[in-house]
Amino acid sequence: MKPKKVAEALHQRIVAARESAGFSITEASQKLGFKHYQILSAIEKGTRNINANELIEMSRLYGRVLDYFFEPEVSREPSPLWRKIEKSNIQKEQRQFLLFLEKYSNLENLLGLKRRWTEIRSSYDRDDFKNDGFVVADKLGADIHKKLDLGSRPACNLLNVLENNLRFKILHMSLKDGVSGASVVDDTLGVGILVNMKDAPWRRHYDLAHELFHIVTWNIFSPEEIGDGTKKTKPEQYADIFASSLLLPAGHLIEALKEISTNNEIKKVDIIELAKDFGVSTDAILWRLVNLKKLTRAQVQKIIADPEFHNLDRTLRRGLYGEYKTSKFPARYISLACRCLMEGKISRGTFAECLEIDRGEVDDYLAEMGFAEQNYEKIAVA
Amino acid sequence: MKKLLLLDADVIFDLHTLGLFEKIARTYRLYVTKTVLGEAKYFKREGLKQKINIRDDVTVINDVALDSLSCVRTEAKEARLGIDPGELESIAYLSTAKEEIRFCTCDKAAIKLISYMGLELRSISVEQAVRSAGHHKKILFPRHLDKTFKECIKEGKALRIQFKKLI
Repeated sequence: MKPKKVAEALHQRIVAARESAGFSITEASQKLGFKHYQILSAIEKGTRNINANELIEMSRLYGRVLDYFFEPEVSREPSPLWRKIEKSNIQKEQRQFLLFLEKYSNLENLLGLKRRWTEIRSSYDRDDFKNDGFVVADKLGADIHKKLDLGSRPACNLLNVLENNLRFKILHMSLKDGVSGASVVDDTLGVGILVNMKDAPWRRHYDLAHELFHIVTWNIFSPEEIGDGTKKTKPEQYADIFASSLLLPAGHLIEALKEISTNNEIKKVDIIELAKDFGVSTDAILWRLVNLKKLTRAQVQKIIADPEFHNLDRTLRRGLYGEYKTSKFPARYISLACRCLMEGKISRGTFAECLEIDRGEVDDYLAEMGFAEQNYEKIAVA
Repeated sequence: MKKLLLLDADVIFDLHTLGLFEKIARTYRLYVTKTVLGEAKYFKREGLKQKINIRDDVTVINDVALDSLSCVRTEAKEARLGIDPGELESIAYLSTAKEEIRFCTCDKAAIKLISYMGLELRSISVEQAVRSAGHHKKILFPRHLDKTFKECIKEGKALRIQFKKLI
């Protein structure tokens, strides 16, 4: 590119970065420490020069790697599929999610690792869903359960399998109320899933399975058909059926039900125990039992409408929040960052940025995680 | 007085933790970039956080050109090294500085990049820097040692051969 065009591209990208991070020019100016917003405005228009330090500050505020501002061509930003109850602005969260994916991919690239997410894509097509979508979604859930070898209690293994076997990039973030998460499939960044860490553990399991459906069927439904989660579109309903089928495999659930019931009857407390056992919500268990024709819709609606049932559910699960505590970053991501640092592939500052810790905390962090220089000495493998 | 650019915040933390910053400041005229100065907020000693205040002890570089930053970023990318923006800015300054200035870092990736770019003769290890300041006690961390520094220089040269095909 010619120098003039390079400069033009830079200014355009500065504006685009600010806007996609959800900052107004006034807000960004304040955060960047400019005395007047006109300074930033002049930088964006190209009438004032920008120095290295100013660009670095912008890249940090806007959640961009420096490459974004300098590369001659930048690919179109991927659009994650969001799942939320109400309309809410998720620009800042989206940028954080995409930045995490960029950093994760960068670590993989530095270590020469390959992605394997294509293995999971569905062999079903649009026509299959057109004829009887709910049955297909249910069957797909069972197929993926088998394919991933998730065992009798899939919720316990799902996160681990997706992260380590399929190399999905899964981020847990504290999201606004009513926002469950997002998913994205991108040729450069791989597969990403965002989960709201404020949700109950069983809710997170379900969200993960729900997002998995969108990934498996990424090329089948368009984002417009799926919607932003505020309406229960057909693909969203399929995703729920898929999640139930994946997390509550028919054979294992019926077996557990037989064990727990006496004279073909179950108590309310048994439903809660089943939900705890399978790591899902009581609602998920109840509707799955309807789906498996073990309970009627009317029975379930009556139970769900009972406030005492919900109180009992909350009481019986109170202790489980701590047990299923999750960290923001996946273990594999942390491990890759540590490997890159120990092998001198990333600087200590890059490491701190990857893990969002203060630079002065790097040594303590490594010690706490059990990473020490001697653990990275090379041993020959036959 | 010799000039020394402290390449990143880590070297500032470590010199404070080891109680050697003042000694270094008496021996060298110290330089840091604005980004690095902003990153060097506090250090830890015996588990306690202590504020860093070096504004009066260093010359702050605030005018690194974007083109230089872009060039160093390209070099880092070419060498498959993930270097943080503060270090890139320091190396960008150094790669264009006309004055006689050396720089000091204990970051493996940064040392490799310096060597990759053929700037190794303008750099010194933390061990060398503190020795020149008259400190000889063995309190340094492995990453400060001349041995570690030389190994990284060697690795950087290997990367130069691998990716630039230059010896």
